[in-house]
Parts: sequence; C-alpha cells; structure tokens
Amino acid sequence: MTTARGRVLVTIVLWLPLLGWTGRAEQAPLANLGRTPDGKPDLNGIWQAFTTASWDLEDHNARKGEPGGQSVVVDGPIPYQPWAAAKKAENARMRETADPLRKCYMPGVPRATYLPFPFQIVQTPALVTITYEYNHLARWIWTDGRGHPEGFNFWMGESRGRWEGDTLVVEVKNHNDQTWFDAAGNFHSDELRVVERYTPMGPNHVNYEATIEDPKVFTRPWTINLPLYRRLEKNVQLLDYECLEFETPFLPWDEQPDPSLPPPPRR
Amino acid sequence: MQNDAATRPRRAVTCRVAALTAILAAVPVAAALSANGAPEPSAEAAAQAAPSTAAPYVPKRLPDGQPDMQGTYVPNWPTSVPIERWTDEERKAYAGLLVEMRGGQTGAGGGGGFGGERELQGNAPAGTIMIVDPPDGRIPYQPWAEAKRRYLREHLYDREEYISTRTRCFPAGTRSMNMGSNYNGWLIVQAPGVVQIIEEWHHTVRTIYLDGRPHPGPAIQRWMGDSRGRWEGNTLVVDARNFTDKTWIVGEIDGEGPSNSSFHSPALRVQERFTLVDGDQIDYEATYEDPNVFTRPWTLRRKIWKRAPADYELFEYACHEGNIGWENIKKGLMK
Repeated sequence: MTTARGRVLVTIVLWLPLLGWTGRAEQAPLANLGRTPDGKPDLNGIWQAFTTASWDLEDHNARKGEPGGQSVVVDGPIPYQPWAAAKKAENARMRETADPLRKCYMPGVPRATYLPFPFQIVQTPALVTITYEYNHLARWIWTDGRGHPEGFNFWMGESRGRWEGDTLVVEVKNHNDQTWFDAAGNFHSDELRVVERYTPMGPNHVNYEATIEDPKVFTRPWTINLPLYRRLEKNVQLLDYECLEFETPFLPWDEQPDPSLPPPPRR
Repeated sequence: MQNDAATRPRRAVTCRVAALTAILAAVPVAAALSANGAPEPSAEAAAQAAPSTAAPYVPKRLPDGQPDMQGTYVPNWPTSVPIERWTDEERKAYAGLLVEMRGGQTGAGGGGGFGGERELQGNAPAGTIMIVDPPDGRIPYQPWAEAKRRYLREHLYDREEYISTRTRCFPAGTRSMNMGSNYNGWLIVQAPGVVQIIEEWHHTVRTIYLDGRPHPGPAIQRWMGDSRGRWEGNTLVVDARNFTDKTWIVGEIDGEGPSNSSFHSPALRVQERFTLVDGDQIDYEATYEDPNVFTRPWTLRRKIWKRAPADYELFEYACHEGNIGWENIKKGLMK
C-alpha cells in the first residue's frame, strides 16, 4: 500500500514538469487574437520590450544614462557556480569596456529581445523570422520539425521553433561563449541552451519567457519573464541602428577627396 | 571577404564551381571574337538575363493572393560578372595599379579582391555585363562625379573612408541587390502585405511593404534603402529610396575593377523588378536614378536567384565580429 502510494507519488513528481508543460499548451485559446490562416496566433508586426533588462537582468539602481529597474529573473538570484560568480563580478567591474556590445558584437539570445530597440516578426507556417533594428540582426526560425545542425557555434545561437498551442517555443543551441546577457556582466559558456516561449496575452501583448541552462556556469536552470508590446504607431517600421556607424569615418557624397577635382554642382 | 573563405571553404568551392558552370552554360554567344581576337561585348550576352515570355508560369498563390516566391535561394549568375563595360586596356591598367598600390603583391591575401582580380586578368567571360542601358554599358556619372570615382579607386588605400563600407561590415546597400555575394544564400518569406528578403551575407534584411504605406520622410536614411512593392503579374515591383550615401552602387575593396568606388547620393532611387521565371528561378532588373550624380537613369539586368538544394541552409554570417581583414587593412593604412 505504502509502496504503491509511493510509486504513484514518484510518478507524479517525475511527470510534474511535463504536466506543467502541456498544461500551458492546453490553456484555452484566446478569442480576441488575430490568427494566421493556419490557425496560429498572428505575431506578424513590430514588437518591443520596455524594460531595463539589457542593462541588468536583476535589481539595479540607475547609472548615468541608464534607468534603474527591478529584476526580470523569476527564480533569482541567478544561480552562479562559485567560480562563475567571481567572473560575473569581474565582468561587472569592467563593463564599460568589456561588454561585447561596446565592440558592436551581436548580443546573442535572449539579450536581442530586450535591447531598447524594436524588432519585427514575420510569420509563415514553416518559418518565423525575427529581425532586429539593432545592427540589422536576423534570426530565421524553422518550425517544420528539422533538427539543429551540430558541430557549429554562433553568436546568436541557432534556433528551431515549434508551436505548443498558442505558444511559439524556440529552442536555441550552439551559442559561442562570447556574448553577455546584459551590460552588468551576466554571462554564459558555449554550453548555453535557451528555451524561449512567446505566449500571446492578447492581440498586442506577448508574454516572453526564456529559460536558461548552462551546466558549466549555473547550478540549475533559471528563467526570465517580461512582456513584449506591439508597437501600434500607424507608420511604425524598423529603421537602422548600425552600431559601427559611430566608430568609423565616411566621405560624404558631395565632398571631393582632393581640391584638384571639380566641385559638385551647387544645390 | 576572406574570413568566409577560411571558415567555409567547402561551400565556397562548390559555389565557384557552380558559378563557372553557369557562366559556360549561359553565355556561349559572349565568346564571339572581334577582328583583333579580343572577346567582343555583346548585347545578346546581357539579354541572356531577360525575363522569358515564352511559357507563362503560374505560381502558387498565398492566402493573401501574392504569388509565392518563398524559399531558400542561391545566386543564379556568377557575381564576378561586371556591372559595367570596360575595355581590356582599362581593366589591365587598373589591375596593374592595384598591384602597385599593394606594393607588388599579386597573390592571395588582399581582402575580397581575388575573384575580381582573376576577372581583371581575363578569366571571366568577357563581354557579359549587367548594364543594359545606356548602350555603352557605363554608369552615366556626371563629370565631377566620374572624376571623384576615378580618384577614389586610384587612391583606394590612402584613407579609411575611401574603402567600401561593405569591407567595413556595414550592410552593402545596392551592392547587395545587384552583385550580391557568390558564396551566400538568400531567404525569402512572405506574410500578408510583406515580402522579406534576408541575405546570408552579413544577415542584411530588406522588408518590402506591399500595403501602400508611404516611404518615411526624406531625412530618414537607411543602409539597404527603404522598400515599397507591388505585384504586377509574376513580377514584384519594388521602389527603393531613403538610401544613406555611405554605400556604393558597387565596389568592394579592389574586387570590382574600375567600377570600384561607384558612389551615390541620398537621392538615389532604385526601381526593381523581381520576376518569377518558373518555380525555381527569379530574374532581376533595376533602374537607378540619382540626379545628384548621374546624367540619366540607367538599368541593369541579371539572372539573380535559383532555388537552393534541399539540404542547403543559411548560416549566421558574423561579418564584423570576424573582420580580421579590415583590422589588417587599417594597420596597413596607418603605416
């Protein structure tokens, strides 16, 4: 009797994560969502996170030019292994120069999501693209069931998606170890795995959750959660933020490189 | 860029072989020789890229009525085909100048230039160019602008800002639309009111709105321009403007011969036609207007894309993050 009850209990505990998983997928579909012809929530459009997470995922006071903000880590503090906590502190100390964004490098995932710039989703049945105003980043997320290629690593990782009910679930693997999660030095190794969940809360809001796993750096998986807002300006579209543009000289079209050359006509 | 050759040799080689095959298949008439034995440029060669009108292709339709052009594509014409017609003398003279500017270096090592240099040395199918109008095959620069272009290409390594922004890992503007990159693929997706073209090279993106919205105001400048489109039968017609002046029409370090440094102003406007030839090929035509630098509009035409093999997939192209070539050029410039 006790053994049987124990076995049931163990079974339930073992399956709890799965129950949680499917429980979320089976939540009643929202009625007021726009939907694509294949019945998926229509995520097409321009989105933006309004959060200070790109400066620091966790509680932080304002710094010069940077707003203060509260943690987006739902199960914090971020569970660093002891050596990694020391490295995080060192990163934070060196942040003005060591943040990879200071060198205009790609931000990786999930940081691309909560940079203070908009991004665009184009959604098709087999493929979802996410393109970001920051440095014209692009992700192409196949949702047709193909597997991850192995043996490579990428700045933005490599994304594969699937729909669980109304949630777009994106598994991101094959990151390199060069990106940070924020400007405060939160970091990862090349064993990073991210599971992103884009769950509509209504036609203009998406709940964004990213679970972060990295056995080299953290003691357990941890999760961030923040809302994404649809940009509703009538003329909204992505423009360009080219980080390098502010680091290198250009010759204007109406300037001659040498005084011996004929000048452009007066305008 | 040479960092690609290093990281992705297998695909680069495959593409070059494919490109050569395409040249041989597509341009037999270009081999017609003139009296002195030099290959003669021919209008027929350029016309190879003309959209076929023989058998009308009926594309699949998407739910919003757009013809379906989605998919993964690779270049359908070697990008080493020059945009402009230069005489052999002009090409050889510039090739010689490049060697001089590089301190006598002729072998591999200069960033981005070697497909182009081989072409300058005569291995390309001479006579095939992209420009179909004007008839002389040259970008019709105003005299002051032609003088500027010539100066820039002849002083290429003098200053950082004389080197193409493509080399410096910016989105390449029209250079991505006409020459493209012969070792990279393309991805096209369509949603209601939108066609999006993602180029593997430096993950550049063009989002073409079909919903009739106006372009942003003239003060807005964009690296890949700002695109609005509409469908005319099987042809996607795109009006691109709001360009920055920081990109070149063509020009990639020294890779495009005397066409290097082909600058434009922010008034540039490009009217493009992407024509679905069949289920697997797309042809391209573009008319360039810029009253600040050209004397008249001009038009180029090329076969642009063919459907990629089923197992082909776009990878991340970390241009700036791996731009060791540019770091080395800057060191050279500082000497």
